[in-house]
Amino acid sequence: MEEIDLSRISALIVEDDAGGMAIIGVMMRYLNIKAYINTTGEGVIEMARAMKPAPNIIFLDIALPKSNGYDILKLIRADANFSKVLVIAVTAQDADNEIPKCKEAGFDGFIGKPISRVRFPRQLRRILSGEAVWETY
Amino acid sequence: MLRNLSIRRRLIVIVVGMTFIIVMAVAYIALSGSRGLMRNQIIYAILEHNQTLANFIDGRMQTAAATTRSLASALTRQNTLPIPILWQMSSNSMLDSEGLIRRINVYAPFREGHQSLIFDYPLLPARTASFTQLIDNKIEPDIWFMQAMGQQGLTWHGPERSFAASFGPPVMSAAVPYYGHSDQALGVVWIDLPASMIEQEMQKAIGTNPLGRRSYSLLVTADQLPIATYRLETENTSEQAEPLNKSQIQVVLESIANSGDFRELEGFLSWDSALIVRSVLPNTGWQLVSILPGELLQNPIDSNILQTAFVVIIGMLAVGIVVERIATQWLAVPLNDLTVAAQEIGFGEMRYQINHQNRGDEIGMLARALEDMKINLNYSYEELDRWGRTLEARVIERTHELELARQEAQDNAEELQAVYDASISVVGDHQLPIILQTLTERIASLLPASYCAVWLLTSDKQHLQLVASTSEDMRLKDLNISIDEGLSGMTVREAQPIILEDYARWPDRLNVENPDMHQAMGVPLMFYNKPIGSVVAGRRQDDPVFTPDDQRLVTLVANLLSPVVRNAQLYVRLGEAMKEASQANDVKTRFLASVTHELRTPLNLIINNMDFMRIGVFGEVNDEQVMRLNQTTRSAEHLLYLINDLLDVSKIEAGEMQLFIQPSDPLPMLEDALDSASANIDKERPISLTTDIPPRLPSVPMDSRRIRQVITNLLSNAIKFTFEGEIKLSVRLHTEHIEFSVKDTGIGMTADELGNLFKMFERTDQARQLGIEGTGLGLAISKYLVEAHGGEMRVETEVGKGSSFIFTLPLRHDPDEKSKKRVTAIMMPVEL
Repeated sequence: MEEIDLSRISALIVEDDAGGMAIIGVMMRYLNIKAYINTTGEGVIEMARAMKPAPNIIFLDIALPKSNGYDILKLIRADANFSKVLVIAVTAQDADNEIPKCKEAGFDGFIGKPISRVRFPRQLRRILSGEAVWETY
Repeated sequence: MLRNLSIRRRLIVIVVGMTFIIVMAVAYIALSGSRGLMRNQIIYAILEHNQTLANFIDGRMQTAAATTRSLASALTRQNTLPIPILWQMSSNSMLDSEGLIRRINVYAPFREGHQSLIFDYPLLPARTASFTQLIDNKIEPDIWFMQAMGQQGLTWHGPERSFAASFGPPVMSAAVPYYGHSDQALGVVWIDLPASMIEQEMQKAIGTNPLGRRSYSLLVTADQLPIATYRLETENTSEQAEPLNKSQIQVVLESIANSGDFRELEGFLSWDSALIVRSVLPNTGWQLVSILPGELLQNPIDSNILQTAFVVIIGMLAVGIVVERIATQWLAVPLNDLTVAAQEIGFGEMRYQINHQNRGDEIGMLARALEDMKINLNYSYEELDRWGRTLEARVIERTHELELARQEAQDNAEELQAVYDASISVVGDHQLPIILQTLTERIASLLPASYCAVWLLTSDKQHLQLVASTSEDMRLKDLNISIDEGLSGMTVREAQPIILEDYARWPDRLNVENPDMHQAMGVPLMFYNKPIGSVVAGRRQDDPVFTPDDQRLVTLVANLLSPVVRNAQLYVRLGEAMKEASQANDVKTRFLASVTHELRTPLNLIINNMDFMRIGVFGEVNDEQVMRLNQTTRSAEHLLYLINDLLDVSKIEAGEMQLFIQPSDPLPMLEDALDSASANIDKERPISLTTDIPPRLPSVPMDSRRIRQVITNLLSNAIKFTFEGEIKLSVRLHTEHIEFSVKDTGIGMTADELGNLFKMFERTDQARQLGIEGTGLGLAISKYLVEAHGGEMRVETEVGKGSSFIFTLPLRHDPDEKSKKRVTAIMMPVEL
């Protein structure tokens, strides 16, 4: 697989759990990826619009305090600027239940929690090269 | 009102209050007969007073600066992102006990001139507010906090607009750089003090009004940029006082710019003259400029009061500061130490040394009580730990018991099924009325009889229901009577055949029955000597009477009918029981699915934190620490696998295990499985992980997530049971199927162990003796998953030489019934 330069990626992460947030922050720094973290699920589109460069990929948690990943995905897809951006579900929900729902809703992939430091870089590269990744620990 | 203040602030309030009272007393004495003072003495007193105020404000700024220094030192040499540290520190209420700080900011460039990280961390108004982390590259290179990185120690900046809230009010920022291991500056941490907060501090300092005159105070930076102003009002004044406007501030600053610390200004505001005094804040270098009415110099009595008051104020403040220092040393510092100790203990730091225990006062008592609490808590933690270790064993034991109970219930159901199978015919719930209707008509024509009916006992054994009848009278349909009524009731009660020749005049006959019935016969339906219903037949007036032969015929049919009726009833009950069992399984699965979400969330943090720590992302770790982290990671992963496996087993048992089979390239899936396997190999063991995989493979119809699970399970088993040598993952392509194998040079298995290998909850003796972790579920699930794909799994092994696990997947997907049935049979671990 050709190596994709991850430092050129701009990522937007929607994650409400403090621990999960800290870990994905460490992961993004470890991989040298520019990332914004949205901690509530509110104002995701506004944050994406403000990002320079615009996000290539959005990691979306499913269970969020005031909203959920599916509703946020609808907002993202409804915006002409982001209708093509890659949106990946990152969640601790049961994969057998959630993966069919995520496929139906139009997510581009699924990475179950816990995310793995060893596997994540290759998963990310596969997603960016257009491959379907629907995986769990 | 005092209750919510810190001890230190209470002392300040008390000192200021006492000062005020004494000043009033002295002023009263002075009014009654003191002499005028020299002008210079008054000016000196005003300057002294202003310097005291300046020192107080400066002291407050030092408190905020100290917080910034402590933040910087907490971040220094951590070599990690500041978020987790700030997150933890924010929960520490000691961080901003003075309520001065509005925001904590961190600037952390990744690489020079590249990405930067700014945390904008609002402390007020809500500590619980979420923070936003910005990783961006649009920071202007000449912005002040980049320059602050190159400076030693604390620097003040401002008044600026707050960086993060770029539309916010002006703030003063105290910035301190923090450093990495090589003493190279990694970033800058700064706190924002809003101008409004500083104004409040000025108000606290100036607070009371010993002069009896209106005055103004102006705080400016060393470069004379205005930070804050404060206007002190006289009491009972009718003057309209406006705050100083920009041009007035300009006049004041210009007047004093090139002169000394004192200046008299003609015709300022509504005054004939104004006195301008300036004092420098010793640490920050800012200047406190006060503007007082010039008449202070003209009125000897006022001057006298002023001088006396200033001397007393200075004296009292000096005494107050000393008292405050001593009390802080004796009370606040030890209380602070104990608070920190309580927090450390709260975080589980049991080795934390609690000071002040040998003091004889209440602080000492508190410290000793805390020490007792620590000891008790430590004991509780150890107890909890012991419980934790037995819990896992209990979960497995309990699950095993549940499995046995489920199996027993299933055996019962199967027994019922067997009885049913052995009976004369297969009769479903819906078939019974049809059969009974046919039979009543057959009996009526055989006897012959003008009327025939079948009644069955209801489940309460007190009523009879008409289930079949030759009559077309709709009133009879589903008629329900007591067993005390009619011929059918009497037959059931007596459990004997009964013939009534004069039925027309029988007093107990049912009034809904056909009046043409002149004679009647009742025969009970008997099952194991107990009546379960009755057959009733009737003839008209001119028909022949019922004979014993007629009675025998009906009895014969009734004897054939009884088991059919009974079986049909049992069949209905069996159906209900099966439905209940299946619902119980569904509930269990849904419960497990939601519990696993709650368990995976903390495991995400635990596993990843330990992993990053192990590879040195959070700072250097020694060999011992790496070994311990490895152990802990394996335990956390084991817990995760246990959760996943239990959920899988539950789904399989509830028949809810769904496979998402679609043509997939096996190579990314194999790479992914190898990624995690290679990370799990103990570096102490001389093991090589090799592969023999063709460079190109056709797409295979499979659920690649589940097949990855199978391969990961086989690789993980191989890694656990191999102490040296080689683990090899091979793939071979055949015409009809693809074959995967995992071969190891591990301890191998005996024939006995092999027999139970794929059974749930079975673990080999060797695994137990060697203390190798495992759930006893992985292989059973793997075998199920392979067979659900229409493939096969087998094992070749030799004790001491190693094992090979081989499985196949068909290259063409054939979702036929045969393979599904076979799978179901395998998953029921029943030994009949």
